[in-house]
Amino acid sequence: MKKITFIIMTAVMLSVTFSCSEEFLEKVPLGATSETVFYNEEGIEALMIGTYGIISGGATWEVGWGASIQNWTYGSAASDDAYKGSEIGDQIPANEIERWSVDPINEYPGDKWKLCLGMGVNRANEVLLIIDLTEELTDTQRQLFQAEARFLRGFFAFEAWLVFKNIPWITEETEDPTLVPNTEDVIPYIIQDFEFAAQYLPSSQSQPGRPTKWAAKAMAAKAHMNVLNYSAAKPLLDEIINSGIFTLMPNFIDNFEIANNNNDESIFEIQANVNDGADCSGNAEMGIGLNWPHGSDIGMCCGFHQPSQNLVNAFKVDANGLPMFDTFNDVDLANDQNIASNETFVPFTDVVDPRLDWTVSRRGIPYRDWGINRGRDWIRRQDEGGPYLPCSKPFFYQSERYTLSTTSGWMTGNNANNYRYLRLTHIKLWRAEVAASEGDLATALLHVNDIRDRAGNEVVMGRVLIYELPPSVYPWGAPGDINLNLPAANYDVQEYASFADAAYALKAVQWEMRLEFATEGHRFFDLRRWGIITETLNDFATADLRIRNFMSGATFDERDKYQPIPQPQIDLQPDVLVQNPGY
Amino acid sequence: MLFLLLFGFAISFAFAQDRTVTGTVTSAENGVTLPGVSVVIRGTVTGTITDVDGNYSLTIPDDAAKLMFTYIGMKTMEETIGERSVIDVILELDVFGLDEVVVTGYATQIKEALTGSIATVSSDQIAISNAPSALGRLQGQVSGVTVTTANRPGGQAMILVRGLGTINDNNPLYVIDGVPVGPGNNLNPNDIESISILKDASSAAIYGTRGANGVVIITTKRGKLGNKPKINLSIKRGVTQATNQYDLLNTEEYGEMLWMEARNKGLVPGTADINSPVYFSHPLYGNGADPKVPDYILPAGAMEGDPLVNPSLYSYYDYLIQKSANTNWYDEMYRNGILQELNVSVDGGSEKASYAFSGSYLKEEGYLLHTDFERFTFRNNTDVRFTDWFKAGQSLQVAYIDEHGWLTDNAEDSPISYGYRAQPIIPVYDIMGNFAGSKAPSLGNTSNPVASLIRAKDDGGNYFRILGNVFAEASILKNFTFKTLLGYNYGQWNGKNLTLADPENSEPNYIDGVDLSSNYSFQWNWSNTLNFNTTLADDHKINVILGTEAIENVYRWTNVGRDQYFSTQPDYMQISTGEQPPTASGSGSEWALFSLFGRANYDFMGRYIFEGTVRRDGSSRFGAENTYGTFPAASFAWAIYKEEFMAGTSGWLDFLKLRLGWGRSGNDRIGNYNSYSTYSTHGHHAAYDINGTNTSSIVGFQPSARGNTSVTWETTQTINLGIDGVFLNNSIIVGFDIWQRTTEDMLYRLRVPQVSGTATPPFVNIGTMENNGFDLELGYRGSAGELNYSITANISRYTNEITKLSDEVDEYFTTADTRQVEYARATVGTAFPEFYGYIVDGIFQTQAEADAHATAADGYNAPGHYKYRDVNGDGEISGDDRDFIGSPHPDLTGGLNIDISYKNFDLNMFFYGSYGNDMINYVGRWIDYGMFFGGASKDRLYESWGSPHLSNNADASLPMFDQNDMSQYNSTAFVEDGSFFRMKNLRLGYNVPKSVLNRIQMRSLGIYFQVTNLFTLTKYSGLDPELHQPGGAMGLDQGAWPTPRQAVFGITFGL
Repeated sequence: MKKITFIIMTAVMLSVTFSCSEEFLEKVPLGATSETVFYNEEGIEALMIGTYGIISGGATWEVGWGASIQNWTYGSAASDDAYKGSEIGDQIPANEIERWSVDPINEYPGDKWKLCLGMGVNRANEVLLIIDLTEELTDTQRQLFQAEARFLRGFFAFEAWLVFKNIPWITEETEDPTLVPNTEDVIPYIIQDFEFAAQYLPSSQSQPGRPTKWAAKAMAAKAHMNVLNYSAAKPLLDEIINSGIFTLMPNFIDNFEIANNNNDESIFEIQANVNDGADCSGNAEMGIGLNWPHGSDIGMCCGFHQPSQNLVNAFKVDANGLPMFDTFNDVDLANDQNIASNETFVPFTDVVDPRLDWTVSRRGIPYRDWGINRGRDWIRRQDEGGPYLPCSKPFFYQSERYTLSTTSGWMTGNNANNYRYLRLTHIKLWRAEVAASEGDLATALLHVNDIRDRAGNEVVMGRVLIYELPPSVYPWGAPGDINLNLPAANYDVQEYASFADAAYALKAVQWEMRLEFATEGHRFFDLRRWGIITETLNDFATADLRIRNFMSGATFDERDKYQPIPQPQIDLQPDVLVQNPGY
Repeated sequence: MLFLLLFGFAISFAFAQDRTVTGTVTSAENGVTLPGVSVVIRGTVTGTITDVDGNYSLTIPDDAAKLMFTYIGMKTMEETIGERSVIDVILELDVFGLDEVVVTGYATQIKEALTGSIATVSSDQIAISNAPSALGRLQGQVSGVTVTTANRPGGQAMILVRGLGTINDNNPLYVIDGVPVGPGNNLNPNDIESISILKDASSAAIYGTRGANGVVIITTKRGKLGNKPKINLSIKRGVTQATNQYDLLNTEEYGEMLWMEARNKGLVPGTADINSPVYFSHPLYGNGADPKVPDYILPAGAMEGDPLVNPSLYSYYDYLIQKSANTNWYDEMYRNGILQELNVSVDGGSEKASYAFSGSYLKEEGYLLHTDFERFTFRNNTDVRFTDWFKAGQSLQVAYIDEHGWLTDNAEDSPISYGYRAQPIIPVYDIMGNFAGSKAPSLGNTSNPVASLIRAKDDGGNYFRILGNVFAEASILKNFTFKTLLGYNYGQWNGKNLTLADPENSEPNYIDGVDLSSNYSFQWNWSNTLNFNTTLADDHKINVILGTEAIENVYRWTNVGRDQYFSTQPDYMQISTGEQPPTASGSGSEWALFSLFGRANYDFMGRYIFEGTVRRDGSSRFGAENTYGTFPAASFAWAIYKEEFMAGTSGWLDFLKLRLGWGRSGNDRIGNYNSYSTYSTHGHHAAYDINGTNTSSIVGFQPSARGNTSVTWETTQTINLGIDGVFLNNSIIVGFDIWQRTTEDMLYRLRVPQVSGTATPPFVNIGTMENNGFDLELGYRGSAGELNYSITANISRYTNEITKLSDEVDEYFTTADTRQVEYARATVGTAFPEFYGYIVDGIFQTQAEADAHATAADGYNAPGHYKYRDVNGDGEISGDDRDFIGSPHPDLTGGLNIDISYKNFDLNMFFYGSYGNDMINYVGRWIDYGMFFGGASKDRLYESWGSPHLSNNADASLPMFDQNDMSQYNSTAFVEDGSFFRMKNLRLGYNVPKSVLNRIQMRSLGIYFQVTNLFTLTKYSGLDPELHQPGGAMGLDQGAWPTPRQAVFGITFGL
């Protein structure tokens, strides 16, 4: 090779290098897209689905269990319904919530804030913005989209209000969300969103995940009920009841079975599904992913959210099949605390409301189709979480395992059971509450008795005839160990003959709500709006020491009615966000 | 640049007359002739090599001025040719390598003439350590460089050059034979000729936006022209053992601890009335006044003779029978791992071409069951001198890695962590020989770690890499050399992870599944450099290099998984044979860089040396507003000892040089797409089963990232002042550098209030960070008769401080958060990172003392609990009372090498230490404080407040064990002094003497015996103070594999 040839080759190569550098340096992200592609019907729909995608509060690992839509921490473990459960050392932020000693740096409320405001309201506003920017829509389409997005915005804002009360109200028109203070009452705005949604949403939806106008009205009523605006709630409740669209399911348990997802009683459900290809079945109710039976025969993760003894006692009935308002907690319903599984324990010595054994799984009682609950062997740590299995309403049947429960990940109890966020029972009992407040005892009695009438329709069957439950008993014991033709326990639930006065009626309504909605994450908020939370919970903590000394020293104060605004967010918006009083 | 190049071409050149010079090269030390000495015409690539008798013959052009003679271990010598046709030279021994050729960016330099701060490590130094990663072998060998290595088999190493220049990616740039690469363990350390570490910006600025964290340049071995084939064979075999385990309670003590805990909670074990509020019982240890170890844990608490334990009842997995045990899980998991390594290399060359081949095999079995690492490498370097002005060559490296087992490190789900998470009462196997586990009540959520190690034996992955270059180099004109190099680097990873049913555990999995991951990256780079080299009037040496470089990188990944298999044979478990719907994900990224650079070096009489560098980089990662960045540097060196006024010092001073450097370099690791705002789909964060199907969902979109179109590189400015000296007849060497690094435009992901959305906010160039420090190297070499010895030590120090994060003065961010507790954060005025938590002022001894103190959560203030300091003085203990409570950054780190040789024996001892760094013993949260009910430390029973074993509660090292969760919050109680001094290596070798070798016709034969990690002096209570944990969780010990001890026997053959 001649030198000159080499030089020419080199010069040519170098000039190539220089000429292509501009294009060469352009690299666009793979698998992502920019905003403009959403300016059409399909785009709005895609972002809308993206907003529904986090409605269960289970956007793990983006947020933790403190964001669950089922509010098992703030609404249930912080109330007299349930304990955090599991072991004391696990998930210590939940201990603070249970013991009403939440520090503003606690990550659980931080997650709720993030989910509701950072993700929920923000995504709904994003959808609303893009609806505005999309020209090709007809007015009807636009209103329908707006109604759906505003329902979602109101929904997330209301969830945040429940937990924090003092939240900023941010809309698609807010120029800088970071400057909006949290000092204004947002309930009116939330209700406006639901009213708008009620106006434009259809009466029924072919896709059960979407809200109808009735769901919007029910949400508005729920918001009114939470600020005790009975007069505003009443017409909405009546409208829903009188529409005739919704009917009570025949049995109480129907509302907690996968087979009855989206049923006749449902007004708005949070959809759950499994094995759809998402990691760890991420579209199930991951926010309650820790709340499944731990250890022994069933063995899932991780034994959280165990019912309290106080709740179990509340299901006791008197000789007339009615609740024992004043004496229910004087003596504990027989339980197997400290009794080994292979030692003798007789489960059915008391008469109870049959809803107990659908809500709580206790020793000696068949646990759906999983077998006889064997007691202490089935509990992660009885001395720290009490003698009951994790709250069983969101659970599933063994026959559904792996087809309707997850096959991947470590939260192996995740399943396709929807969370009935709003069902006719809510509407009827709220209506009863309104009636009781008005002294309309007949209406209150009607609705409460409808619920109680249904409660007796189906009871847990299968009475154990053996009182020692070693491993060999699982699942159903030897032939003759259980009589499947007998009710598992002594059940009785009767209708009230009448309400003596408004106060009694209110008490009866409140009691019915507790029994009907137990462990569904509403109890704390109900006690709060009824104004009886402080005494109720402090009494609970004291009496509870009988069985579980974890609450020793815990006291419920005025400030504990709401969770603290997350400190890291206050740090970021120091002159904008104000901490809730007392923190 | 192009103009300059063309200008250069335009200069006409004359063909010179050729003549021949011959001569012999001998050694000054013993007078023997030296074969293989490189003889090159200065300023050209024309040259030859001396033959076996030390003779050479070289045809030179008429205008050739000087010949350079270079030989490893000897001082380079320059001879003016003049009219001579015979030039004999005597080379002197180069004690401290001042004449060695140092690889710098895109060029080489003589060490003596360096102006910047460049550390070098030779192949001899690299050969001593056993670390599988070449980078790991740098630990303690050079100053200013912090090296940590993971202790799992094949453990990767991480390097920090002079502190942390950023809160983001602090990895230096690695360049192997001109090809930029990432850090890794896929290079055969035996292939390395030398490693240069460009520590300051005056040397690293030539790498522009990639040089801010330092540059590590690795050069592999090449053959030499005219050398006979040299065959080297080395074999190494040894044993790897674990050196430490947590000191945990045995089964009986564990029961005692449970009873103590119950009493601490106010319960009264032994109470007969089951309904009494102080009644206590335990599902396994009974309900007596004292714990009783049962014979069986499944059925819970059963005793021998109980009909329930009749083996005929056993049914897998519904009715398992497990005896109680006293298991030391570490003893069950640990084994003696075998280490073996085989290396073969051949190199040599003819008159025109040289070659080097090598192959190696490494197998490292971990000290945990079924953990192993295998590496195969193959390398070939070839150089061909086609004409006296043109040469070309190539480098090729192929590496294949196969690793297996449960290799998780420094995490609560590592095998080391499961060793403390499992209670001792659990046996390894049940009565029928199946694995036992935590299924019995009160055993927490652990799994059986031995079972997990065995089940994971087929997990793992393999990695394939092919890396290399082709290059051509031409002396196109007199004094001009042009080089073009095309590099390539392809890596492919295939991983497999099986999830096998573990029905013996409390949170079992019954579904078998497979996850496969696969990714590849391909990168090419093309660099062109023109080197101009001349000496004017004998005293003025000028060297100019101009260059261009283009790099493009493509990365793609795919993961698939599937559950439920008919058979759990690993061969059966394929994606196609699974029964559930598969999961799949995948994506990728790309980046590109285009650069122009130049460097000029002017050397006056070897006394004053000036150097200037500039690089202009354009990067696809930068926003449209800031595509190009320019990085200048300047440095100066002054060889003081050559000055006439120093003449009087020649009796004791052999060498003294001052260096001063300044420069700017950049860090482009800002993510590939930081300037783009994007929306993306997500399988569950943006998907919903809107149709209520139970088993499928519709996927939507979510806002995923917000872009910053003005984003650009981080700029680090370095000032370096160095002094190098050799004293007392070449017996003492000192190198000292004092430096300052200031990073500006440091990228910080502004913490956006959540109310404006949780899409990933963009990085903005806003922060600043400062590092100061010094690097000190000392060496001493002496002899007494046939005893030769040398001691070299290096000490490094850096201080790191964030001087700005954002426009908010009190901006901070959490850098480590585990199990809902914040461990470390960073803010202005702190290093990155520092530990953050409460300050413990002792333990409350009396109720009066507790009542008088600021109140913590309801009921916390009680005797036996921690007395947290009320930092803000508001009378309450809350999150606001946390403060910075320790720093993982050492005050000093240092290495010490002692080499002694006597006759044919040689001994090497290597020590490494770190002083003044804190650690957080996160494992304590499990074993001391009972975050979960797993294994418990001896301290929990014997040293906690209120322990019956403690004569005085004031001596308690832990608070009362009543499982109060507040004691688990991060505090000074978890912070420990992580200083240590460790003997890393002891190696004794014997080389067969020449007389014997000649008889058996071998070039060399050596044997050695080596032991690593002989002893450690430390106060740290965890398993190992030497923690491989980069980034924001630095110093947070979450259950890392402790450093193994290896005893190795090796033989080296040379033919």
